[in-house]
Amino acid sequence: MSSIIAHKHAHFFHSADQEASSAKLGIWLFLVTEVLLFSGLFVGYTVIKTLHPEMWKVASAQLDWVLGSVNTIVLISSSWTVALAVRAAQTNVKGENNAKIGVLLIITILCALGFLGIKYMEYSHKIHDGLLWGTKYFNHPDAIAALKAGVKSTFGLEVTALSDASFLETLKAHAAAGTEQAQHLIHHYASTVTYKDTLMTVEQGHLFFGIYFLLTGLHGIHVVIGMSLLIWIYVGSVKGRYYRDYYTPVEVGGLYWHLVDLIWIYLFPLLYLV
Amino acid sequence: MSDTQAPGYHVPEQEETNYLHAQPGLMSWLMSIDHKRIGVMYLIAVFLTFALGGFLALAVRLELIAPGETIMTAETYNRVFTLHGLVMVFLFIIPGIPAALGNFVLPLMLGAKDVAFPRLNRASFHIYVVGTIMALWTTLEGGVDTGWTFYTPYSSTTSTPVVMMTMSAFVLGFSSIFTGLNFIVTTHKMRAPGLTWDRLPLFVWAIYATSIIQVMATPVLGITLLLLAMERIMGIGIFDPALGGDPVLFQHFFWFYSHPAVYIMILPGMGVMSELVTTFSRKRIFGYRAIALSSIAIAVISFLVWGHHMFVSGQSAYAGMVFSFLTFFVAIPSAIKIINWSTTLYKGSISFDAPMLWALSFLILFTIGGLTGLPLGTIGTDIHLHDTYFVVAHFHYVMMGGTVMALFGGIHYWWPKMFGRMYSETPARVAAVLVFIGFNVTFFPQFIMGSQGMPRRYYDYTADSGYEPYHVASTVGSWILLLGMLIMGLNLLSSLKKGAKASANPWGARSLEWVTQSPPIEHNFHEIPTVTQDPYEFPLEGSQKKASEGMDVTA
Repeated sequence: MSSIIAHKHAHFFHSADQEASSAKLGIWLFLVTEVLLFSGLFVGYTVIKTLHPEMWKVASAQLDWVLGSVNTIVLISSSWTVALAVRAAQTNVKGENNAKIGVLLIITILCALGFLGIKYMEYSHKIHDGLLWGTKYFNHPDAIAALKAGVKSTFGLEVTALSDASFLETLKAHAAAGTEQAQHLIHHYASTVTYKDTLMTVEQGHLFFGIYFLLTGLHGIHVVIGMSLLIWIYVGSVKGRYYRDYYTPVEVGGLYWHLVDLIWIYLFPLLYLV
Repeated sequence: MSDTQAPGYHVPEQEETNYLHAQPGLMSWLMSIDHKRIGVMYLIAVFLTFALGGFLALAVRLELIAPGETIMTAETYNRVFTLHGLVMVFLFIIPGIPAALGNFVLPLMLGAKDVAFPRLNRASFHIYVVGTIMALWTTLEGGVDTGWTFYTPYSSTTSTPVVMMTMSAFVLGFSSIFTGLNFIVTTHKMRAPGLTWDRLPLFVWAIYATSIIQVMATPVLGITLLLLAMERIMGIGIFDPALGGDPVLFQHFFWFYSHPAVYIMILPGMGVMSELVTTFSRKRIFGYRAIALSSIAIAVISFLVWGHHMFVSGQSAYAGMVFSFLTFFVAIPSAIKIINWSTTLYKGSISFDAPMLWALSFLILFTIGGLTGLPLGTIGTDIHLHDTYFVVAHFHYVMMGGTVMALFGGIHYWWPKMFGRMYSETPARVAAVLVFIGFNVTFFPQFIMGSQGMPRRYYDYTADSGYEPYHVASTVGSWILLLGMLIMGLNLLSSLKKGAKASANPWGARSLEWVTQSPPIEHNFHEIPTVTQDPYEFPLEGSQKKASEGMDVTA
């Protein structure tokens, strides 16, 4: 459909310009609150990193910087496509750009989904390896006790020394049945052995992963919110709601999406590279 | 009461349907996006939460009237004072003036038909209701016993429902942010023609400064409370020394919000003060620009003083010195306001109507509250006074002696505009005087026993400690306060039915909310007024110049 639905500004504004500039100031202020929300976590990051610099070095090396880089590229591309969508809306006179706005928004939404997919891969890997927060961290006494109890109840074996690599072979032999729980235990045991020389010696590695999951989790929630907004805007764009004289939702949604991108641009080096 | 409605002024002769009756039914109120209705709903809500917090305070005072167990156990006492603090801070005083009076008055003062984002405004109220229900829900789970400050590690280990309470405050934060954001945008974008920044009423300046703090500080509280909840749910250990975290980090986070937050509480009260002092002394405000800019100065400096809550927490002595200096620094803008208000009164034609009595109470009590803040900002004396009743007294002199007096003054001042009725003057004055007396009887003894060492939040004291007479006086004072509040509340409520009809401008005030009828029509103004002078062009003594003169109305 290449026509437009003319926008009528709300009665309490005296002009469409006043309405649009109010919306713009409003979203900028809201973005300020978002930055300040994350700022608390960045301060927590700085404090913990300063208190435990050695732990930080070892623990942060466990993140996959390749996946992190791919995600950075994905998000930056999506910021570009959403900016093009805003431009297309600004130059839309009679609805000739409706389809273009829609396609650009769809690409942006697909990028968001791709980002979340890659994040899911990273998260599952960390969960498998027990690289988690607090008492769930693989070398926490609680977690080790749980591992030993699991090995005992599943395979009937006593774990004596965690570092015994040959014990892993024994486990694998016992796990011929290959139940999911057994596979999971073996995986967990294997990572415990693997990380013995590095992470096992670093106390409080869980603090890094606590902050990692909080920062990326909160960011992930923002990706989901941003994506939902973009879907809503996409629906409007198909109907031809956005054109030269009224593109506020596209612009506001785009600004929000840029913020989601911007926060990741800080998260990526701080968590993966520093 | 002087009626200064002038001829030729565009207040219709025949009263038109006002916002109170624009649509019928409860749902039309609950789902309303009219800033006036939202303001009134907030007003009802903060009255209720104030009553709840007040009764909790009365219970605390009654328990402390004598050594030993009086009416409740120590465990109950901890929950009661915690809930008192949380209700008064998050449910009453933060939304108090901005969301109730501000919502009603600010768009009118700007000559606007509504706030910039009316639906966001409604969302703010709905979120406030949800947050309130969450907060009160915790009492069904036994109540929280951490104090309103939620200090770790106690808050991360106590078995009381801390997560629900922190999530309630988190939710209420959104309500606060939405209100603040709305007011900033409204002030920037919705001003009537001719209403330049140096013609804005000082109430608008104060609400604007408050909104800046709401928008900038509240997200930090949000993440702090989220971290505390995650500490309890996930055990992330960021505040837990056993897991390698830092419990003092929580205090830094908490006060980074909560110190600016006390300015969220007091700045709107200062805004009301500027309106009352000038209207009821019939004199142009002294030092308009100084008062306006000092609000902004407070908003900025308030972000830099949080460490003065932590002089005994083990922060570095150097940081302590800097925070102490900045604390003195933030006192200056408040002092500028006090001096300007006093100078406005000087040789003014002062009338002691009820709003003015509240304003004069503010002037006296806030000055005491402000000056007693200085020994708390001085590191040496703070180490002696820290966590004593001296702090409790200081805080209440500022918050209750300041903000609550201004809130009540403001309610009386704008009551005719809100509901179109005048309250009875005599009981209103009696109530104001009783509250002033009751307040001092309640809180002044706390300065004395605090300086003698009575710790805050303690459930008990020994009979030979010498604190008992002060506690008795303080508790008796709380009953006088109750009496004063009851008279005020009943007087206001009965005015809704029996009060004389209010004219458009019963006080002879000059800002734009008095240009429209009382109560206003649904869209505030038939024609947006054009402003040609500042809002405090009061006549010189003896002059017959009327309030509305010098203000054009253009079609």
